[in-house]
Amino acid sequence: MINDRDRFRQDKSPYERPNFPFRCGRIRIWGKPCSAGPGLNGACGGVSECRPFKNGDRWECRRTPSAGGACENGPSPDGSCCIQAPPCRPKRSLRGYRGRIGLLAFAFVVAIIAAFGFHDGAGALDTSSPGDLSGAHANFTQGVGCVACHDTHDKSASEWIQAAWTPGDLSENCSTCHTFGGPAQTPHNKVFTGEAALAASKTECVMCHTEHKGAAGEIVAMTDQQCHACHEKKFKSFSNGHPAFSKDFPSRRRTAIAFNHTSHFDKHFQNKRFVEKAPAQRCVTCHNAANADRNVPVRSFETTCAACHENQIAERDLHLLTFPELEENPFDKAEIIAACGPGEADQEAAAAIVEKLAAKPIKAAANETKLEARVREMKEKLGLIESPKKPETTNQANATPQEDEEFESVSTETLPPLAMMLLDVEDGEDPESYAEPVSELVNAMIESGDGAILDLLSERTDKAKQLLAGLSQELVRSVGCAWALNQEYEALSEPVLGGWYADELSLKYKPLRHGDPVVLGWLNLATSSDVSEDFRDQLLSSSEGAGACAKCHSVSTEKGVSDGPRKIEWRLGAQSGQKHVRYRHKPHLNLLGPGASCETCHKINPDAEFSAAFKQTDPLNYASNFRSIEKQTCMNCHAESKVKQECTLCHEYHDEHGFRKKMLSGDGGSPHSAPKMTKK
Amino acid sequence: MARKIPMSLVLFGVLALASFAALFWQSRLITVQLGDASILTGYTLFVTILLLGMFNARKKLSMIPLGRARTWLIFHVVLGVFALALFWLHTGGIWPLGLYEQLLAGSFYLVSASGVFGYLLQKALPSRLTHTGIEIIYDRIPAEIAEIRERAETLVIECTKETGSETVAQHYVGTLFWYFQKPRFLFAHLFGGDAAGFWLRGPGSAARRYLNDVEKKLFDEILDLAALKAHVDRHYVCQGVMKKWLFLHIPLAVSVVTLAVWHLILVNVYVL
Amino acid sequence: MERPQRWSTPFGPDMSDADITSLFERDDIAAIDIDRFPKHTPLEGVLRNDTRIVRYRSGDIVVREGDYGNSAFLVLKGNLRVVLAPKLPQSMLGRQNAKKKGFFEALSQLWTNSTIPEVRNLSGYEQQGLRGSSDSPDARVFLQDVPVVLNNHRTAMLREGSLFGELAALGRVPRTATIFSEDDAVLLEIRWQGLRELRKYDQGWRRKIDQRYRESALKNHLQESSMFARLDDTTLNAVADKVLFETYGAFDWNVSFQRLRERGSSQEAPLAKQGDYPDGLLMIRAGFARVSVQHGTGDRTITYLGAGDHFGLGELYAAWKNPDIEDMAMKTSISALGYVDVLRVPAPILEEHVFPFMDPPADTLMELAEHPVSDDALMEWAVEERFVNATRAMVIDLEKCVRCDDCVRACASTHGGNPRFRRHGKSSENLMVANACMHCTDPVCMIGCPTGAIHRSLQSGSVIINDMTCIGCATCANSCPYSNISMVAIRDSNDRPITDPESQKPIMKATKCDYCEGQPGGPACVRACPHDALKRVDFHDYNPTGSM
Repeated sequence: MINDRDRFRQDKSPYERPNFPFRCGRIRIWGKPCSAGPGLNGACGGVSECRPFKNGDRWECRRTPSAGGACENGPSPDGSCCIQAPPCRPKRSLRGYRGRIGLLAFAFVVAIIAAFGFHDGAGALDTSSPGDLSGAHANFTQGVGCVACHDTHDKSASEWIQAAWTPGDLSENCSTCHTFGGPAQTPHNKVFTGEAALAASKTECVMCHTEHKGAAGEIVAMTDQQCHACHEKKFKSFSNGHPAFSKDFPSRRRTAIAFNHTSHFDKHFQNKRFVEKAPAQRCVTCHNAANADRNVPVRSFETTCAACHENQIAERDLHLLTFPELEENPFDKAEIIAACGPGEADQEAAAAIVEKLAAKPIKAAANETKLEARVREMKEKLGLIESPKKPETTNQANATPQEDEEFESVSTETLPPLAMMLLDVEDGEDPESYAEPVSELVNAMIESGDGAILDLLSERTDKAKQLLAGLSQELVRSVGCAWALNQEYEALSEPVLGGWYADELSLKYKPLRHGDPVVLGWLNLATSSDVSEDFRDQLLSSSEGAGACAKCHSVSTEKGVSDGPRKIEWRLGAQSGQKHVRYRHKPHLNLLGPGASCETCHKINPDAEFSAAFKQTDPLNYASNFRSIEKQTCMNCHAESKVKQECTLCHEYHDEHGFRKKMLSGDGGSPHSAPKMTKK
Repeated sequence: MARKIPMSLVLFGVLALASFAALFWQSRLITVQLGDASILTGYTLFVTILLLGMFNARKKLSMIPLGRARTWLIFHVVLGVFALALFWLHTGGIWPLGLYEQLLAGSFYLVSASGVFGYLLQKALPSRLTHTGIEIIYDRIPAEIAEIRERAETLVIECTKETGSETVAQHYVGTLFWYFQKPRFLFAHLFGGDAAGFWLRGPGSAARRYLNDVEKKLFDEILDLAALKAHVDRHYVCQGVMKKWLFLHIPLAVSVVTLAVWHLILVNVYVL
Repeated sequence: MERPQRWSTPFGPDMSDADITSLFERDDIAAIDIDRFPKHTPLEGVLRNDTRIVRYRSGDIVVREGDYGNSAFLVLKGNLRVVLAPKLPQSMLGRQNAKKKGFFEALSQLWTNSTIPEVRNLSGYEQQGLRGSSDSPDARVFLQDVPVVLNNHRTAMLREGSLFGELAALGRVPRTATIFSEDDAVLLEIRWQGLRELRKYDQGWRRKIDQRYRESALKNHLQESSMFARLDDTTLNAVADKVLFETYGAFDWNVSFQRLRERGSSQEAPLAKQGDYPDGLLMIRAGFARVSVQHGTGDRTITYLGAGDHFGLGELYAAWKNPDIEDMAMKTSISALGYVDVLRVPAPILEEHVFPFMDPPADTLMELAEHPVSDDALMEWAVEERFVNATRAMVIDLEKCVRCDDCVRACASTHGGNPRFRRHGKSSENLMVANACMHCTDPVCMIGCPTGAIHRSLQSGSVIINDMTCIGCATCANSCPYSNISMVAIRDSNDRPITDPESQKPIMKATKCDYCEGQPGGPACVRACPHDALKRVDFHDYNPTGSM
């Protein structure tokens, strides 16, 4: 006991053994433990205090000194200890319990994992999901479950072991649904070639997009520093270190329409004649701010340009065919007449002419005037007089004696480029090279009307029908007949609204309106590479081209190659080519403060050599008539402690992000496959 | 008396701070470079947890020179705080989203909390025990109480024999036996209150006024034993608590390690 | 005749009249002048009660080098051999062959430690040259092959009439050589009390003993002191001749200490009193002495002195320096803590050989007396409890200790699964000296071990017990004034107690802290304490506020 003076004596206080796993069970009832103590196996150490020893015929007490030494009463006569106690149920030591609880905790956790760890995602306790998917992904992967992204899910143990030691390819599965303008796993979906390909490291979707952040988790957030992970030019923020915008920003490329803003604001409408047509609301007169996005679209031609420029369209005809000057008459008059058959009027006219001519001396005289010569020629052609015999000495190759007659072509024109193309003639001014094709064409025209031209054109382009839309057979035949007879065609009437028509020696098309499909077709044909330069130049000429299209619509060559295939900029809108830049006008329109307008940022530059840019074809060789927008302009608002200015505000990482069609086909976890219903 | 701050605490503290700063900086760098910082922080955390567990192994390996347990404890405590900070760095928040991760985080927090609790206990209770003026080995407390009770009962019998009066015996059977039976007023002892003394001065000694001088003398001896037992009780409670808090800490630590191993396997199978 | 108290328990219980008579027939005994002995302690009584006749067989070890003994031997018959060189190996002496464990050997304790308490492998005991058991009075270790030992070691012969072991018995110094009996021998063993009487009352014995002491020990001791280091050999001999050596207190103070503690009082033999005239310098050679001053109605301990310390230098120096000052009394008292062995160097020797060549000594003793009394409480307590004897007392700071028992478990893990100390003990304020062996400067436990199983390790200086030669007699356990040696009943590997086949009494072994002898990394208990509460300290340089 604590008060004992000699409680520390070795024979009273044996070693305490805290490493022993059991304690005497008597401590359960706060009794005094026995000196024997429990056995190693947790059994009671004994019910008696000692095992008496028989010395001779006397029993001797053998109680240990620590238990108090030999007892007073000594052993019973039968040799048993006199102090007996009921056996106890030894108690585990605290540490013993602690160890057991530790083991139990381990077993419990293993059991929980075993019970729930291999359950599919729908389970009550899914050990494998570190959080809900974002709403969109959750929706699309619901039917398939975890395997939509994690191949190893639901795989065997051996595959797990293998998977644990091989690097994951989580990003591969993103392409099941997502598509991009380029490879999915290159920086900015760009295709790199050469040295750049070596430098550009492979990117993983999971580098930026981490899932399982909860249904409302932000999985596209990206910090400015992360952009700088790859970009060599590193800076702190847009307002602090971002490179200056290029000098031609945002008008890096020529506009589609050669619309000179400077002159339209300040020059043309100074004129009193046009003053009432002046754009009253400046920019928004033409630009539709209501639909503003990256571009502020220009309103239609009809509501903007037409007021002044519509008439100019019809003024420029398309010259399809001009009957050229021929040195010899290739036509068989009889055949032509047979084919065309002079009409009543023709015959009457012819009769009248015959009478007149008969009254005059028909012999060709030396002093014969040119007019008289022509009259005689016609008479001869008509068979009214005998043509004089050609001298024998002339060209033997000239076949018939009739051809020896002096032939005077009604036309002094040359073959126009369109016709050259049509007839595949190389030199439109050399009658020898075009005489035969022309005559064949004219014959064909007489024979099959517009079909003749269509046939020829079809050899060049498959859009022949569109190009000749509205061309009537009658018109073509009439023209053919007239020309075959070496006459000028006399149009019955002038076209009022436009369309195909012919005058003396030409077959033409008058544009009907802005966007006329026939002219459009011909102009597009002119841009193809296999047409002659003349053909192209004529059609695409801003001053002479058909429909005056090219006066406004700029003609460009690809990538600044001056003699490459042309492209006519029919469509409006920026073609900046900066895939990774985004800007939205709309939020800016009303935010720039009172008095602000488009011109707050877009400032007219009256000194720009604007029109010069449209005199050539390189769209990048351009001087906008707006001053370039400088970084400072944006920085007025987007700067430190002002409006936000992170990279992703203006830059878009991906190129043409889209989705695979199969998403919608119900294959591979479409939202329409109603996975919840499949369970039933 | 100002206690000296141990050198090892300063050393480990500085090391832990430096390591955490380095890890924090490195994980920021990795994130900025589009890498996955949780691989670094996760493995470091796992190793940290294993190192924390090594403290227990150290206790079982006393026979080989593995450094002083004192140093290990300081290391354990510093590393525990480090692990908590690292845990937050790893999860990027206080509470994760996945159910399994919540289980892991919950266990981790409980281990940390129980560790802090135990540490505070071990700072607070020893001096309270020392101030009782007695010292007793925990395993001997039941025997001690039994012996005190035996002594008290001997006194009661002696008193009855000597005086022929049963007043003390009746009081013992009616009131004091309850007290001598086993440790009493545990909570008061744990929190430093004197409920036992209060009880002994009140109900415990209520019979004193009815005793004669002889009885009073013996009764006071019984009360002295009761006061002694109050000290023993205090040792029982305080020493017990200093042992039993590990009943929380160690099984939870086992759970955390087991859960973390499975977490590691899952991450390697599913992602890495 | 008034019987001296110690004679109530005679040294040899069976000294017969015939034995006494035959002793008186010997020349060396007959030469003693009986008349010089006082009436209450006659020579015959000394012989009857303080001596015994012991018989040794060939090869029996009489004394071992390094042992502590409290008796001297007179050869009555037969020849003994003193081993000079090379020394006998430890294992031959029945000592533990202390080999440092390797890492894996240490680690293997993790699985080789038994869960059965105090389990022993019995086969080991049979290889030891051990005669007798705990019940027989002549249990001893013997050399198994004497001729081989004689061949391999240089020895000196001790013939009939030789006296040996008297220095260790009087001066509490370890035996300097191992002596074994070459053939069957009869020795008269004289315990220290008897030896003291003989020296006190018989001129011849005194001369013989003092002569031997001066020759062998005194000169060495003087040389070790810095004060006499500069003297040449002849001067030193002259000084040694003049130095007196004295013994105070009881040699077996540990027995009386426990008795006196039980009674609540203790008497200490005074060496010099405060106010006395200083006549010489006291040099402590063994044991401990308390230095005190009068304080209030009692004596206040200022410090305690151990071997190598000296007392009175300041006063003597001052007296020599200022011969005119009259009041040259001692400022402090000195008394023996149990037992103390001193050299008294007379003042004239100091004045001639020492004082002219030394700096004035610092008067540290008086400075110590200026501390508040409360500062000295710990030291006062340590002196009171004789913890000053400790070199490695286990001190536990109870304000830090969380009572986790890690120290005990660590101890068990390095001792075959058995703890070797008990985590309780006397305490003062927040410090508790646990019942673990303190590895005393003055190891009283080693006195009287019949087989030398308890001994001081040559490697570490720790006091250790060789379990192989321990016969379980409990002499050491009973001698230890601090109850730090525990007797345990051993068991076999089937958890059955091992008993003596004849008496069915359990076989006991003495066990105690061995300061993790042979374990790598020092004491496991200190390393295992997670709260820095447990320390092994020498109170001489222990400052709990500073170092803990």
